[in-house]
Amino acid sequence: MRIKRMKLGRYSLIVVALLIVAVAGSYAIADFQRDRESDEVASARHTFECLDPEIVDTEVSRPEAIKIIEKIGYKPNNPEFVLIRDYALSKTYWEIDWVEAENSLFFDIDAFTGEILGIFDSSTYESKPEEVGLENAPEIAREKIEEIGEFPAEAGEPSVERLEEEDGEVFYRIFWEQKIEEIPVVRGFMSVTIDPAGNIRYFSKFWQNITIDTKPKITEEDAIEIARQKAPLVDLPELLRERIDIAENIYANLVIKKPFHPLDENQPIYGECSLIWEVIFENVEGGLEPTVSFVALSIDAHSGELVGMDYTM
Amino acid sequence: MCRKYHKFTAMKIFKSCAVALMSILLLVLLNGGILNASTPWSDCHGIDPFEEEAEIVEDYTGAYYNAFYLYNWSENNIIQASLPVADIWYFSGHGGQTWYGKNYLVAGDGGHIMPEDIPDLHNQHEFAQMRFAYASACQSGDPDWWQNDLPEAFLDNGARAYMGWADTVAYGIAYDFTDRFYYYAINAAQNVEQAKANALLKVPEAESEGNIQLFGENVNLIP
Repeated sequence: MRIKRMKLGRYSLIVVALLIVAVAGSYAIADFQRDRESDEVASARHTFECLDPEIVDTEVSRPEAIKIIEKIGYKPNNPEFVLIRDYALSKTYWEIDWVEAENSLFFDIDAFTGEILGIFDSSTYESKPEEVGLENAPEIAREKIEEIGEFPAEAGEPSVERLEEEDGEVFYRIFWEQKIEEIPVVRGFMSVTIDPAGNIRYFSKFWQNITIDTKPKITEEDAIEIARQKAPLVDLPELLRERIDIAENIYANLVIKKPFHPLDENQPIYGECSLIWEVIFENVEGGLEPTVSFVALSIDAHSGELVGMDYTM
Repeated sequence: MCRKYHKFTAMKIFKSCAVALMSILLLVLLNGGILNASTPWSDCHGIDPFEEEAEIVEDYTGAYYNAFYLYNWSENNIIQASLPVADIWYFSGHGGQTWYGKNYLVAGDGGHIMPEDIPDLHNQHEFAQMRFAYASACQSGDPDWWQNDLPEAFLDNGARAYMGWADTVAYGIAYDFTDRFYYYAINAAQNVEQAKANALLKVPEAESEGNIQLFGENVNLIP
């Protein structure tokens, strides 16, 4: 009896010890997973961020955003809200979506000005007589934009495209590139896609509110020379270094943009918006379909500093 | 006596094994819930210098990617160890094409992954077939009518959907588009067509400059 009890006690001890090991192991793995996940979140540099509306103050509340949508004829049914701070497009907006008769609808409403920044409407509209064609599409698009907000006074001539879907549906896309004193603003644009009856199907307006000195202090030649001198000092992967070394064409474009920082993890993914000479080191490969690859070094057109870069993949 | 001894030893071994098995089972059950939170249901590659893009994708998908361990994936590793077992496959790196227009992806060791290298993508571990492949690389989505290119190779070998860039694309555009595409496809649980359309509203250059193309079925990344 005593021997049996001793054996039972020994087995119980073993079981308890193994249980402790199992629980401790689980916690150790969970900790490892948590550490790894938090490292990943810290290292991934997203182009936008979802904010907590309970913490971030906005000028436009959720009910106010809904009123803006209702004002132009939509009736959001049980909508979902996400507050987004967009680093690439320099806006903070409510992204509001709901489903209506199995169709998804998305709206982007500026959380500070209340401006409609985006519409995604996958509804099926009843066919009407064709009102829109390539020639009158820009004018109709402009009227439609004015119905839902302000049309930028400085918007120039748009590009117009006729799109034919696989199912035969036709759309017209009208696109305006933002320019300030003829200098292109990278990621500044307005785009609207309308169906032949003139209904807005897709709309996005990320017109940048920028005040900038558009007179460069350094010339294009100076910018190219600076880029040539600074390129060897940048810690570049071999393939990109080679592209610069053997570049067939080197030229510079004057643009207004937020410099891109792909290789420096210690910097935010985008810098401050500035006037930039984008110095392009370009190579063209022949063949049936010639391919253009480049490395672009961003030189601040006022200070002459290397502030960012980009390259083809 | 001898038989009794054998019986005793056998019982002891049996009981010990049972206890050990129960403990292992317990350990697996306890850990299962934790590990499942980031199940590697997708495979993710960022080939230097495109690890930044891979990191944002990993952030959404919980994909199996670690720049320190999987740095510079070789051509053989991608073809043999990654493609045949991935449900959602993602690649960020250089792409190019031969003089006759056949496109390829450049692996970490400089090897070219040609359309004819794409293995069978059916019947992989617990998944029936690869659901979605996205090769974020120049010209990865450029099909030619006169030959098999990467889009056809992926679809013909079992991928239900494939996305790639028809033209050369600047990294800044690809990075921004990819970030938004996975946000809509994973966080907002949209199908790939919707996710692409929504991402294009914010990054129209992905169409006008890189010419992003989606092939195959309109799948959902969230099973």
